[in-house]
Amino acid sequence: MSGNTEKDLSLIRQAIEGESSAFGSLYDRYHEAIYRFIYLKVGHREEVEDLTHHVFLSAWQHMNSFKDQGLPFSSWLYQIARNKVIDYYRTKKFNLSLEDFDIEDIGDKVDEENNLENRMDMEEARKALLELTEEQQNVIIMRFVEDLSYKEISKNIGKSQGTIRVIQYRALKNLQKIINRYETDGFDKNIK
Amino acid sequence: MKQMDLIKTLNKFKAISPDRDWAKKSLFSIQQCPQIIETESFSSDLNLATENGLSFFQFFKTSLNYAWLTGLAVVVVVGAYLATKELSPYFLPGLNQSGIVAEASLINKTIDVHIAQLESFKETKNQTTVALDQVSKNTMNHLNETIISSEVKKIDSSTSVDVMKVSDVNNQVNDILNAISK
Repeated sequence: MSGNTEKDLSLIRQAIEGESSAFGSLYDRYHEAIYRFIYLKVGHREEVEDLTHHVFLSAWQHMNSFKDQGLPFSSWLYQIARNKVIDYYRTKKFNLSLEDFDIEDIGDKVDEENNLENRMDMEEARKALLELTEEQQNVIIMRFVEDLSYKEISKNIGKSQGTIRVIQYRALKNLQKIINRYETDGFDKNIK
Repeated sequence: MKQMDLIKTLNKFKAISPDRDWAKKSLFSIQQCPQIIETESFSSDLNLATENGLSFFQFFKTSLNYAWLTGLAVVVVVGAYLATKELSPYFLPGLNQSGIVAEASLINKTIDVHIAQLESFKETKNQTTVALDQVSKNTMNHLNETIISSEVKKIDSSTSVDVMKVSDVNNQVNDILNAISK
């Protein structure tokens, strides 16, 4: 995903010319990653669906503003998604609570494999993730959820690979501290 | 929680996936919407800039916008300055203090000349009025016979006296000449 593949570029050009099926292919390729990215930041299934829909709607409607500058198409989508999430928190004045995270919406694979303890771990991890800075959240999600390389993350976020490593290191340290605090004080006490 | 456990937990989030029916419906409804031309308000949403700074394209675009705005501002300022200079009383050269004093003194002199002329005219008018008045009062005097005859007598008497004096002198001269010849 470093830059765009020839296939991606071809699809992007066709989508810019108004070919909706080409945009459909791009949608199929990227919508799950964008959905997860928003899900970990918002947590309500309906709102995640709504925001994801609007990210791709905006992308489709403004395809002609996409300029290939060596950045992957996904970085453009992540940028739109980040702005949508910022707008969401700005307008909704979101307060996090345990009930806000629809852990049941995680795929069947997790449901089958994970017991209640695992679910609690995931809830804690997600809650802790939201306490990080936006930049740290983005690096953690792209690195450990989307499995992007440092190079890909650096292109998506616009920072050097060395900086991305430093951000990741600090983010993991902070996550550990936050989760340890939950374990010491009790998770429920840390939920607003 | 150890770091490895934390990373394993984070990896589990990969299982998050949207509902397939929702995804299909969402894509279908998106494809029904027409594409629109880029607008300024949305361009910030689609910002391709890195978090460190603007991309070259945006930098160029932003610079161009600033250049336009700067040019417009210069035109407005210069236009306002020139308009003010032309129209505002604060910038009229006639209001230059030394100029005003010179102009006022010139006007004063002109007014003085005019006043002098007016006084002269007034004097002439008065004299004319008096003369006319006198003429009108003595209109018939020159036709009064009594006056005329008295004047004639005066003239005659004075003339006769003079004639007599002349003849006396002549006689005396003659006497003197005769005496000498003798």
